[in-house]
Amino acid sequence: MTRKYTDILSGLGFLAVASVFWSAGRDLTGVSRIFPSLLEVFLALGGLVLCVNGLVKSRKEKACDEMPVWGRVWLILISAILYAAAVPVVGFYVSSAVFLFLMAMIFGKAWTMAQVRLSLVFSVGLCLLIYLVFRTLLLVPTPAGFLF
Amino acid sequence: MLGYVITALGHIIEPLNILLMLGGLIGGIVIGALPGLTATMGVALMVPVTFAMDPISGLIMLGAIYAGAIYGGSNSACLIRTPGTPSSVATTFDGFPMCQAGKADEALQTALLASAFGGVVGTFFLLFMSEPLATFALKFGGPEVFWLCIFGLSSIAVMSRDNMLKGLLSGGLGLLISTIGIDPNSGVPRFIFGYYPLAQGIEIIPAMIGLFSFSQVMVLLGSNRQFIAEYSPSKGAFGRVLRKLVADCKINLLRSSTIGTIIGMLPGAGGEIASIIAYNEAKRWDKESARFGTGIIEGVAASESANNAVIGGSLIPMLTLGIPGSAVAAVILGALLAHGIQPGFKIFAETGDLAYTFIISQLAVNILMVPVGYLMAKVMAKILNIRLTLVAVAIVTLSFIGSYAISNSMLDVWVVVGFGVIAFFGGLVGLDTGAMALGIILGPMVEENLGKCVNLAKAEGSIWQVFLASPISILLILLTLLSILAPILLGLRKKCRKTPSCMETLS
Amino acid sequence: MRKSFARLLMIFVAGYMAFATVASAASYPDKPISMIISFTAGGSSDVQARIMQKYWNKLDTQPWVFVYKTGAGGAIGSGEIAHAKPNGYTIGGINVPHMVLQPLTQGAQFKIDDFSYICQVVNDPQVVAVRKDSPFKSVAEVFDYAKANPNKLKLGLVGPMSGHHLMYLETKAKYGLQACEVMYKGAADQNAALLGGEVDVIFGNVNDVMRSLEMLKILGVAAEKPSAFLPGVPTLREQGFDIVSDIRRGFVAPKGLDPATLAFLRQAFKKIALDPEYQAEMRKAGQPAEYLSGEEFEAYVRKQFEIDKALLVQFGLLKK
Repeated sequence: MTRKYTDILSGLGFLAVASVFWSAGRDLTGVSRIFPSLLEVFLALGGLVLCVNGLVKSRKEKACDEMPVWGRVWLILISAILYAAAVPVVGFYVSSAVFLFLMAMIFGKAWTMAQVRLSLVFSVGLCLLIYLVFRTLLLVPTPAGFLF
Repeated sequence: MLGYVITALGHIIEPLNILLMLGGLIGGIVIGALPGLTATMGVALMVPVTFAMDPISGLIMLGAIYAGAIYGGSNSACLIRTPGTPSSVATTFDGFPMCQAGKADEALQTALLASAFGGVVGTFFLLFMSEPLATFALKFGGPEVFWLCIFGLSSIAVMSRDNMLKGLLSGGLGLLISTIGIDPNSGVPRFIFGYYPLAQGIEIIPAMIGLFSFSQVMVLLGSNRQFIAEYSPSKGAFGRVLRKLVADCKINLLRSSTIGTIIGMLPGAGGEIASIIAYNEAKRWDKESARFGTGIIEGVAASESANNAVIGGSLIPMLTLGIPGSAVAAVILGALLAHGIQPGFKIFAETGDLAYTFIISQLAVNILMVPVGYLMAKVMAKILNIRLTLVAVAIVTLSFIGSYAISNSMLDVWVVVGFGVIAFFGGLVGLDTGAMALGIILGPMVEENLGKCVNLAKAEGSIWQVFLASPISILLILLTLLSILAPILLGLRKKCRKTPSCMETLS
Repeated sequence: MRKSFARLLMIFVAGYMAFATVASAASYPDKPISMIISFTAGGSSDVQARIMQKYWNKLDTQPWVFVYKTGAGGAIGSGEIAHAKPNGYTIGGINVPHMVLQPLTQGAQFKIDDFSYICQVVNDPQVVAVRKDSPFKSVAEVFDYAKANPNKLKLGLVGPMSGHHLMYLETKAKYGLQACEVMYKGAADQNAALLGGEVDVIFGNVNDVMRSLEMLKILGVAAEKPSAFLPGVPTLREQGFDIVSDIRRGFVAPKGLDPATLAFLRQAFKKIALDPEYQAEMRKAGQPAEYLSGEEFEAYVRKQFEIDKALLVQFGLLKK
C-alpha cells in the first residue's frame, strides 16, 4: 500500500472516530466535556490534514512491506469472535478445546491422522495446563457455561 | 542501621526464606510471562497464603513474586511481542525485532541482566534514601503529576519520528478512548453508548493485550511463516550481553533505573509509564537514535531496568508513609496491615527487623534472579521452536483467560478482540500502537489531575498560578518543551551541517 | 436391550436429581461460595474480608472464593451481586453510602432493594484532619476560617459522590461554609495531598488516617461516640457541630434468597463478628468494627437513602 492511501485511510479513520465520540457526547455538560472535546477537535483536524496530504502529495513510497494473506486473517478473526461468543454459553474449557483443535487442524500442514493426533494433544493439553494453573493453583474462576 | 542489616542477613539465609525466595521468583516469572496474568494478581492471590506464615517470611515471598513477575513479562514481550505484564510494553519495541533477527538469547539475557540491575538500584534507593525521597514524592501534587503526564505524552513526539502527526493522533486516540467510563471529576458515566458495563472504562491490560498480542496473532497467521523466528541457541550470549552492557550501556542503565525509581515513588504512576519514558529518553539521548525499534540491546536494557527499578521506588512511600507507589505495593500494604504492621517512618525503628529484612531480601532476590531467570529463559526460548500456528492460536486462548481473570468480566475479552482489530487494521495504515497505549494509560491521570488543578484554582485565583506554582512543575514544563523542540532543533542542525555558510553563522 | 437401558438411565438420573435438590436444600453450603469484592485487592474492603475469611474457615464449612470485580467505584461489583442467582453461592461486600449514591447519580444497574442484607461489619467514621504543624487547633477554627474566607480553604475529599462529599455538603447546608474542595481518586492520594501541603484539611476516614497518624492532627470525628482508635479526639457533636458521617461496610446477597440460607449466613457472620479474637485482629489492622444485624443494616441503608437523596437535591446535584 502506498503512502498516499495509508494517509487518506488513516485520516478518514481519525475523522470518523472523532465524529462518533462527538455525537455520543452531545449531552455532556461542564467539566466532563472539556477534555474529550479538545481531543475530538484535535483528531478531526489532524485527520483532515492527513487526508489532504494524501490527496495532494503524490507519495509513492511503500508504507508497509508485505500484505497479509487475507484469507487466513479473516479466518482467525471470525473464529476468535465465535469463540469469545461461545465461552459464556458453552463454558470456557469446552470452547477452548474445540477452538484450539479446529484452528490447529485448519492452519496445520495437512489433513492427516498424524495432524489430528497432534492437534488433539495440543488442544487438550493446553486446556489441562490452563486448568491446573488457573483453577487449582490460582483459584481463578473461568466463565462457566452450561458445559464445563 | 548496620545492626539491622546484619540481623537481616541472618534471616535471609534461613532455609524457609531461601525456599520462599526461589519459589516466589519462579512463580512470579511464570505469572509475569503469561500474557494477561499480572504482578498485581499474582501477589494478591498469594496474600492469604502469608497469613499462615510469620510476617517476615510472608513479605519476603510477596517481594520475590513482585520482582519475578516484573522481570517475567519481558520473556513474552521478546518472544511473542506480547507484554506479559503492562510494564513490559516498551520491551516489545526492541525485544521482538531482536528475536525475529535470530538473537532471541541476547534479547532474553539483556532483559534479565537489566532487570536485575534496575531492581538493585531501586532497592539501594529504598535502603539508603527512603526518608528524603518519600518527602520529595509528597511534593508531587495535582499540577506536578499533570505536567509529568504531559511530559510523558510529549515523548510520543520522540517515539514516532518519521510520522509525528500519525503518532500524535494515535496518542490522541488513546486519550479519547480512555475517557470512556466514569468521569473522574464529576462521577458521571461518559461514552458508554448505552451499555452500562462500559462504565468501568476500558481496562488498560485487556486493551494492551488486544493491541499487542491479539493483533500480533493476526499478523503472524496472516504471514506464511512456519515459525515466529529462526532460533538456534547461541552459545555465549550471556557473556556477550554482559560485556556489551558494561561497556556501552552504563549511562543508559543508570538513567533508566533512576527514572524507574522516581516514577515508582509516585502514587498512581507505575511500571508501564516508567518503561516507556525510560525507553524514549534512551532513544532521545542516543547518537544513532534511528536504531531504536530495529532490535538493539540498548532499547531492551532501558525498558527492563526501568520497570524493575519501579519496585524499589514504589516501596519507598509504601513503607514510610503508608502510601503505595504502585498497585502491587498497595496489595503488599494490605498484607502488612492485615498482619497488624503499621507503615510509617517508625517502621524502620519499631519493626526494623521486618523492614530491613524485607529490603535486604529484595537485594537477594534480584541477585538470585540472574541464575533462575537464565535457566527459565532457556526453557521459554524453546517456544520459538514450536510451529507458529500452534503458538499463535494458543496466544488467543491465553489472552482470553488472562484478560477475563482480571475482573471476571467477558467485556474484557471483547476489549481484547476489539483492540486487536483496531491495532491490526490501524497498523496497516500507520497507526502507532505504542503511542495509543501510552494515551490510554495516561489519559485518566491527565484528566484527574487537570480536575484537581481546576479545583485548586478556585482558592489560588487563577489556574496559571496553580500550573506554575512549584519548581517541579516548571522543570517539567521546560522538559516537555525541550522534548517537543529537540527533534526540530536537531533536524535543523543536521540540515545546517550540510551547508558551510550556515555553520559559519552558527559558530 | 437399549430401550431398557435408556429407561434405567432416565430413572437413575431423575432419582439423582431429586436427591440432589433435597440434599442441597438441607445441606447448604455444599460447594464453595463466591465472595465478590468490589474494590482492588489489598484495599480496606479486601483486608477486612480476608480477616473474616480466616474465621469463616474455622466454621468447618465450604470455603470462600474471592472474586474481584472492580470498577466504577464499586458499582460494577454491586451490580454483579444484585444480578447473581439467589442460591446463596454468591455473596459480596457492600459499602454505604456508595450503594445509595451510585444508583442515584451514576445510573448504576442495581437498587438498594435488590439485596438480601446479611450484616454490617464496619463503621468507619469521617474525621477532620490537618497536618501536625497546621495553625488550626480545632474544628471550630477550621469552619470559622472557611466562613470568613469563602473558597480559600483547600479541602481534600475522596470523590465526587462519596461519603466525604456528602459530609461536606451536610456541613455546607448546616453551617454555611464554602471551601475550595479538591477531589481525589482514593484515600492514598488524599492523604499524600494533605501531607505534601496541596490541601490544608481533609475529611478522611479513621481507617485511612491511621496509616500516617503521627504526622497528622485529628481535630474531630464525625461519630456518635469517640473512636477507640483515636483516644482523646472529641466528636464533632461535642464541639458543637451536629454532623455524623461515616462509611459502613457490610455483606449482602441477591434478593430472593431462601430464608433458611439467609438465616445460616446471618448466623455465621454474627458468630464471627462477635468473636473476640476476630475483634482483636480488626483492631490490630486499624479497622473500626461495628456489628449490626441484617435487619438493622437494611433499615440503616433505607434511612440513608432518604437523607442522601434530599441532600443531593438540595445542592442541585440530582435532577429531581
